[in-house]
Amino acid sequence: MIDKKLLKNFDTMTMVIVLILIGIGIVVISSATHVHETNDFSAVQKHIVWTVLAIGLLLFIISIDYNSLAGMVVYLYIGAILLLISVLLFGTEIKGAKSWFTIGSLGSIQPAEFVKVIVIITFSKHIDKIKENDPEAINKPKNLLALCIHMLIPILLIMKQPDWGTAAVFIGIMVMILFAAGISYKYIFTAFGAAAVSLPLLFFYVMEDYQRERLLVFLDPNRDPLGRGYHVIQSKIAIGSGQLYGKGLFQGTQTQRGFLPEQDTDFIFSVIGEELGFIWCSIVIILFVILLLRFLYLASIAKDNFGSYIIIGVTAMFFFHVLINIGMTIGLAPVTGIPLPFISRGGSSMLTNMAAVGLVLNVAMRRQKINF
Amino acid sequence: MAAPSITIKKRIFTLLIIFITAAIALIIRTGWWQIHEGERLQKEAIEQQTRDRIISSRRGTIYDRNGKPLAVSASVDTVSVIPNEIKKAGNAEEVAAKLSEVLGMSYEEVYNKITKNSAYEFIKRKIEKKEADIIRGYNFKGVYLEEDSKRYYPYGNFASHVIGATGTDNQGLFGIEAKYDKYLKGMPGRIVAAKDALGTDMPYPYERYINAEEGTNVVLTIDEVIQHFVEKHLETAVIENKVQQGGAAIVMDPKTGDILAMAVKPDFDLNNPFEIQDAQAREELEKLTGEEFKKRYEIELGKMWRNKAVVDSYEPGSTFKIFTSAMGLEENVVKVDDVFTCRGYATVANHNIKCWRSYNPHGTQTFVEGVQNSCNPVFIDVAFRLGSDKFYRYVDAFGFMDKTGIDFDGETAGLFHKKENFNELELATAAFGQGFTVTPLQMVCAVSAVANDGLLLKPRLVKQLTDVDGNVVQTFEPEIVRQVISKETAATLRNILESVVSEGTGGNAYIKGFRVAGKTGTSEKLPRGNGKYIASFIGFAPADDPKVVCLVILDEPMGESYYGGTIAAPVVGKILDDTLRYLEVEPKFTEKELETMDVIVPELRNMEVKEAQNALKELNLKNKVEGNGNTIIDQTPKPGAKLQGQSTVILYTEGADKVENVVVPDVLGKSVLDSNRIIINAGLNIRITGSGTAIKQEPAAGTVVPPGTVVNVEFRHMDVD
Repeated sequence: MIDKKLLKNFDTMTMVIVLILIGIGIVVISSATHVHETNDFSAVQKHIVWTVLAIGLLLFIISIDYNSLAGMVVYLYIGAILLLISVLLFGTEIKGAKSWFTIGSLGSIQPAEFVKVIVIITFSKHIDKIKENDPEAINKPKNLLALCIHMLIPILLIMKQPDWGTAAVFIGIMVMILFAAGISYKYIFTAFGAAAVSLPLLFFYVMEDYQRERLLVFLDPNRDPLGRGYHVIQSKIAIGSGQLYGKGLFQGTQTQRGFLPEQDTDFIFSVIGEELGFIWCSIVIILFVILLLRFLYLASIAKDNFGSYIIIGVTAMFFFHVLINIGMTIGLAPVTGIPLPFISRGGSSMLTNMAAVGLVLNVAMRRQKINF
Repeated sequence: MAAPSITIKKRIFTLLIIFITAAIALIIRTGWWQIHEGERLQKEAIEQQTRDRIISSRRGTIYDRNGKPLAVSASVDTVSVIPNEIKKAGNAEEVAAKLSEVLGMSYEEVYNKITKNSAYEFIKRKIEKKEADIIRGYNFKGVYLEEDSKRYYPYGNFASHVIGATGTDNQGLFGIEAKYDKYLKGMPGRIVAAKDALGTDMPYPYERYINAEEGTNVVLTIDEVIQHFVEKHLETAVIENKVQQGGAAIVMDPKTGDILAMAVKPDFDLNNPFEIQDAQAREELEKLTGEEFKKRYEIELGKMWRNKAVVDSYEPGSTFKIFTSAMGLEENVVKVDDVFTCRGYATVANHNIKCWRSYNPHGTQTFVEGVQNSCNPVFIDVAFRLGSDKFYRYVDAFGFMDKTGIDFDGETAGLFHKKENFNELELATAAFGQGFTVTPLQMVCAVSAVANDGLLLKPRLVKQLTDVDGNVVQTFEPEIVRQVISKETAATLRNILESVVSEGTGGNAYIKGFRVAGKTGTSEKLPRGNGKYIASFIGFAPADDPKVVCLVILDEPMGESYYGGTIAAPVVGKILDDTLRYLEVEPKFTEKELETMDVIVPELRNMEVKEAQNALKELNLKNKVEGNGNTIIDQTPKPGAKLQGQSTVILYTEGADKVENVVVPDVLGKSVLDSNRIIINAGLNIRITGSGTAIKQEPAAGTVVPPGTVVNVEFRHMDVD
C-alpha cells in the first residue's frame, strides 16, 4: 500500500507540530478536568483513546491515494448530506443544538465535523472539474452558482441544528478554496460588499431577538454578565489574570474553582492563558501559524490543483477554527461552540482534525510527478 | 492534470499574509489582556473568588485625665438578610412578622426587604443585645446578625464640642473623635475565604484570618470635674445674660499647657448629635424641603458643632492691655509708678481716641492705677513709647500671629494687622485691643505665658494614648514655644493684674482665700454702634503661683450689662473658686476675710446658755438670748445653716416672748456697707458674695421671716469695662 517513495515525502514537520499541540492539549485537559484533585483520569484517558484512534484514521487516510477518491465524490457528498439529515432527525440535542449522535461510553460524535472534511474533498473536485478545460470557467456565473449550491446545502442543514459556528467555518472554507482557485477579485469584492450591506439588514429584519442579543453581548459582554456575557467575562478574567507567566499548571483559580465554563473544550485556550500565561499562549498561536504556513507551502507544491484545493480547504478549516476559537476567548469573536483543533477535548473534533491532517499528508506524499 | 498554476501560488501568498496578520492580531490581543490589563483582571479574579467578612474592631475609649470614660463603645448587632436563602426556606411571612415585632418596624417594610431581588439587605443597624438575642433564638435561615459597635457618651451634653461625635460607620465626625480617628478606630480584621463558582466556601486551607486590631484609647487633658464646673457656670451666665451668639470658656494649666476644661454653650447631646438644638433654626428648618433643607441643615449642624473656643476669633478689647503692659515693662519704657493723666481721650494722628470712661476721665494716675482702671490713654502712651516695630514683634512673640498648634481640627489664628499697614492709628488702637482679632485659645495661651514666668507653651488636649490593657502607647509631653518676657516682668505683671481684681475693674472676679489676677475686656462688635458686644474676662490664680488660667467669653450678651467686668468676671471667679478648691490649693485668707469667714451653725438646743455662748464665740459668731431660762430650747438660724463670721445667732430659752417675725428689707442697688447695715438693723443676718452693688437677694424683699434668718445678697461692680 504505502511504498517507500511515498514515505520519503511524508511531511515530518507537520506531524511533529500536530503532536506537540496534542501533547499540550492532553496536559491542559488534565488540568481542566481537575485530575490532581479528583484523581479521576477517565476524561483524559478517553481523550487519549480518541487520539490514538484518530492517528489510526490518519494512517489509514494517507494510505489511499487522494485521486482515487475523485471517482467517489458524488457518493461521498450524498453520504455526507444524508448524515446531516439523519442527525437532524435522530440526533441527540445537547445545549439546544441537535448536532450529536451518542455512541456508547465514548460519548457523542458530531457528524458536521466529518462532513467538513468530506465536503472539502467534494468541493475541491468540483472546482477541479470546472477548471479542467478552461481555467477561467470558474468565473462563469453558472459554475459559481453550482459551487454555491454545493456548499449551501450542508451549510443550511448545519444552521438548522443550529450550529452557526460550524456553518461559518464552512463559508470560510468555501471562500478560501474559491479564492485560491482564482476566482475573480470582482466577485470577492462584490461578496464583501454584499455582506457589509446585508449585515445591518440581517440584524434589523431577519435575526431573531435572541440572535440580536447574542451579537450585542459580543460587543458588550456586561449587558448580561451572568447570562450570555458570562463566558466571555470569565474567559477574559482567566486569561488576563494569568499575566505573563501564568499561575502555574493546576494553579489557575478561575479554572480550578469552576468559574471558567467549558474549560476542557471550547474555552481550553483560557486555561492555557490562566495557568501558563502569555508565553504559552503565544507559543500555541505561533505553532498554529507555522502549521498553516507549512500547509500553504505543501499546497503550493502539490502535484495537481485538486490536491492543492484539498490542502487549502483543510488549511482554511484550521485557520477559521483557531481564529474563531481563540478569538472568542479574548472577545474578538462571538461565542460559538467551535473547538480549538488538537487541543480541545472531544472525539469527533480529534478524528476530523487528524483525518484532515491525513488528507494534507496524503496530498503532500504524492507530490512527485511521475516522469516517463 | 496540471500542477498548481501561477495564480494559485500568488493567491497562496496572499493567504500567507492573511494568516500571519491574523496570528499577530491574536497575539497582540491576548497580550493586551495579559500584560496591559493583567493586573486589573487579576484583581477582578480575586474579587470574585473570595468572600470577605469584616471583623469589626472596638473603637478606643476617650478618657478624661483621671481615667473617667467620656466616650465608650458598646457591642451591638446589625441585622441583615440574604433574600435568596429566605426564599429557599419559604417562610418569608413568618420571618417578616417576627422581625418586625422585635425590631419595632412595620411588617410591610421588613417583608419588602427580605423578599427583595438582591443579594444582601440590611434590615436594621445597631440593635441592642437583648433584641439580637431574641432574633438569634429564632434561628431563621438567611437572617444574619453581625457584630457592630455603637458609641455612647455617658455624660451626654458634656464637653460636646471637644469630644466630638461619630457617624453611622463609627467614623469620627468632628472634635477629638475626628482628629484622633485613626488611633481610635483601630484596624478592622477580615476573614478572607476562597469561594468557587457556585459561591460555596472552599475548605479550611483556603481561609485566611486577619485579626482585628483594637482601637487605641485617647486620654484627654480635660478634667471631668473642672469641665463640669465650667459648664455649669458658663451655662448659667449664658442664660442669665441672654447671650445670643454663645459663650466659651477655657481653663488651662499654665505650667504644662494642658487644657483642663473647654466648654462652649449652648451645646448638644453627643448621643444625639444630629438634632439641631436651636429652637428658632429648627422651626425654620421645618418649613424647608429637599435640597434647601439639606443645605440649611448642614449649615446649622456645622454651627452647632463648631468649637467656638478654638475656631472663632474675636476682638480682645481691654484684655489685650495685659500684653501692652508686658511689653512696656519688659522693654523698660514704663515703670509701675510712672504717672499718667487721662483727659478722657488721647489725640493720635489728628484723631481723638476716647477712653472707655470719657464721661468721667480718670485724671492723674500711676501706671498700676491705669491698668486697674483699664484706662485707654495710658496704654496708647505706653505703645508709643515702644514704637510700632517692637509692639509688632511682641504681638508675634505672644503667639497672636500663628495658630497655637493644638491637636484639634479647624483651628484658626485670628487676624492681626499686616506689618506694612501697622501705622500710628493702628498702633494706638491695638494698644487697648482694638482693630484685630484673636482666638480664645490664643488669648489663654498668651496669658498662660505671663502666669508661667514668661514661657509660652503649646496647648494640648490629649495627654496620652493607651492600648486595650491600659498600657501607655504614647505620651504627649508639654512643648515650649518660646520665652516671651522675663521671669521678673511676668512677676511684676502678675502683681499688677492681681490689683486689678482686688482694687480695680476686675473686682467681680474676687474670691475669698485666693489671690486672683486678671483683666476685663469688652469689645463692640463690628459694625460699631449696633449695640452688640463681646464681654470677656481672663484671670488666673493664685496670683503668686498660678495653677490655672481661665478665660470666659460671652458673645452678644443682651441682658442688663454687656461689660466683661460685670458679667464675665464673676463667672471666672466662680470657676476659679471651685477649681482651686477641687485641686486642693491651700487658701490664704486675709484678716478681713477671716473675720467674715463662713461658719456652719452648730446644734445648740438643750445646751446651757453659757455653754452655747462660748461655742458661738469660738466660731466667731455673736449671740442674742431671748427669754431668761437656763437651757436653749430653740435657735435661729437652725443648725447646719451657713453663716458669715460676726453674724448673730438668736438663742431662745424658757420664758421668751412670742417671737415676732420680721419683714426682709429691700437692699437691691445698695452698697455692701449699706446692705449690711439695713439687714442687721432688721434683726437678720447677711451673707455677702461679691462686692459692689447688690444685684440679687434671697429671700426677696417683703418676705416675712423669723429674726436671725440669713439673707444671701450677691454684689457686683457694675459698669466696669
